[in-house]
Amino acid sequence: MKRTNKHSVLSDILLIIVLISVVFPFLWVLLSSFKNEADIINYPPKLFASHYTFSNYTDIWKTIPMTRYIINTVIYAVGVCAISVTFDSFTGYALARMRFRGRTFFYYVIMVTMFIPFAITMIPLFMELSKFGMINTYAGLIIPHATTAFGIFMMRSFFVGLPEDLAEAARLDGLNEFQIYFRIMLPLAKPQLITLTIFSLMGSWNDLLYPMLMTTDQSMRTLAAGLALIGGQHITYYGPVMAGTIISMLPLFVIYMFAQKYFIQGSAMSGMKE
Amino acid sequence: MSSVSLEHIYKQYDGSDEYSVTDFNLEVKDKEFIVFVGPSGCGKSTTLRMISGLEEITKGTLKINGEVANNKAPKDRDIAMVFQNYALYPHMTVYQNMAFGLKMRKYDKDEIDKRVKHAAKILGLTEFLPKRPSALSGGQRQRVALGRAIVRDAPIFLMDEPLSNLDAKLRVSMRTEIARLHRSLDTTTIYVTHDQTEAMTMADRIVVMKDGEVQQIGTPAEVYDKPANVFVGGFIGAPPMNFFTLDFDGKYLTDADNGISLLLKPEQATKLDEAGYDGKQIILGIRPENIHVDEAFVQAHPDTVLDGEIVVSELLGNESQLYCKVKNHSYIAKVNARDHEAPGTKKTASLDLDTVHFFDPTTELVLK
Repeated sequence: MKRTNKHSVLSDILLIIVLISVVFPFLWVLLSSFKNEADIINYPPKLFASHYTFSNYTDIWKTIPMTRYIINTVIYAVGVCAISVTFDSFTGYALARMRFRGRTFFYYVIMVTMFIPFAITMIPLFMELSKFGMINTYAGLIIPHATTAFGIFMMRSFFVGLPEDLAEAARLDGLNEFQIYFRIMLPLAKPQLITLTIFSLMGSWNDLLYPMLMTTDQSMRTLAAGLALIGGQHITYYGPVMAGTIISMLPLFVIYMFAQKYFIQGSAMSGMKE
Repeated sequence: MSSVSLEHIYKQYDGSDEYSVTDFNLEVKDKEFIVFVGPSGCGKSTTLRMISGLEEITKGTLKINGEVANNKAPKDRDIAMVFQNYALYPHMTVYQNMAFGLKMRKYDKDEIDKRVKHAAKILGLTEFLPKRPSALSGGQRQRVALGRAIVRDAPIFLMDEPLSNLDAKLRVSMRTEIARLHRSLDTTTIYVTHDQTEAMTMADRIVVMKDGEVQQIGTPAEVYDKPANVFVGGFIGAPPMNFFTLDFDGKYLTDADNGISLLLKPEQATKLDEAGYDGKQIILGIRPENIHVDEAFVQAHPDTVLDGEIVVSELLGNESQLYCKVKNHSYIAKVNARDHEAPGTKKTASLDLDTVHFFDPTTELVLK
């Protein structure tokens, strides 16, 4: 294809610059995870090393309880994701399509919570969980994240857009409100549910501050928190940290590759006259 | 036997002071094709939705097959409904869409299959059964919506403007298809439309509505030939009926400002006289096809002449619509194509007094 348009050449250059700036840190981490410590901290830094090794990947397993961390992270991320996606879509549907007193009020209250930074609620939340004896428990990690304002907002926005005729046709077909939700509305929300699932998984999987705060016991740490605390008081071995980071990134990367086509899919209106 | 009876039905929406439907009374007989027609917001869809159970009835009694159905759930009302925008489930195939209602009612798998395939055959949808609605055209989707109603084998069909999203040509062909289906399925059908042509061509009886109130109920011929009031006269028929507000002096109907003077037939004059309109105003209504411009007619009826000028003329092949003006009063004449003339032409027309309707200017009701 011949390109003569100046504008498109410029935008290509810009895209390449953005691409490099986004990809470079990942590339650095990936390559560093195969370098020995001397090559990593070498000054001036070099992207490529003289020789590569797998030792960081074996060392990380010896340095920290990786298996435990991975299990914890899976329980935390999958637990939060499953519960919050369920509740978010329930709540979003109710706020979008059910008539009840205070509907708008509750919606705005939920939306307002989106604007409160975690730093403000962090200490009260910690005290609350501590009083309930939920520090260092899976329940303590998962329950406070059982719904998210963003998820509710996203699902509500989708359900609001679905035509009322669909629900009415279903009602005439003999469905009750729960069946309408599960058999008609939810299947239509598949792309949104998958998107929300990925967002939620990513959020919890990579979450650092919250699990670090709510777990003090080594055996309850998640990957992100565990890797962050890997550094000793005086010395940090970067190679194993880089290897641990790559290991922690892999599952999300794979999931994203499989689910990305749903990110832009929206087929809900195709049976209706637009 | 399937009948629907609406007795003094009212509808008032939450938060509204006014009734959207007021005192609606109708007896729909078995296998009848009833059309509710009226302008937007006249309450026709609301009434249909009250029959379906999708909308609550504020006051009055709805009976389906003689049983009070006010509080019956939509699914228990023995009705099938076709929506304006089809309301097909996008994530299901055509087959699944049609089978869904039966599946929910726990029909046997073989029975469902038989019914779906039969309906698909009637509607020419067999080859589309495995496809999703998104792969179909508007007309095909509307046929699937019809199919979904047909498979239910419900004795009562409700249709809410099912053709208004289709293009003009498709609308005409679907119109005949629905009429044919109605005959072959022997269902009682209530059909809502704002299109008076659909109402005229499909209905056994038409219910004309305006502002939540029934204006007239009758066969298409009755509604067309004997409109109950000015609104019905103006709404049914295209182009609409012409209206002239005229002074009655015992013999003549006149509009001095526009130079109109019509000599009534003696029996018409007597009738108006007896009704107490001598010296008062009256509204005369006449259909465009009853205003003639051919010379023979004009010469034979010199006492009902309008000396107008053509403002717009539309040649429609076999006929022509002349939009005329006599001073400040406009009227439309539907004439033979050979009488078609260009705008700006002076044209003398004559009214066929045997076909006119008289309405009271205050109540706008027809004088009988």
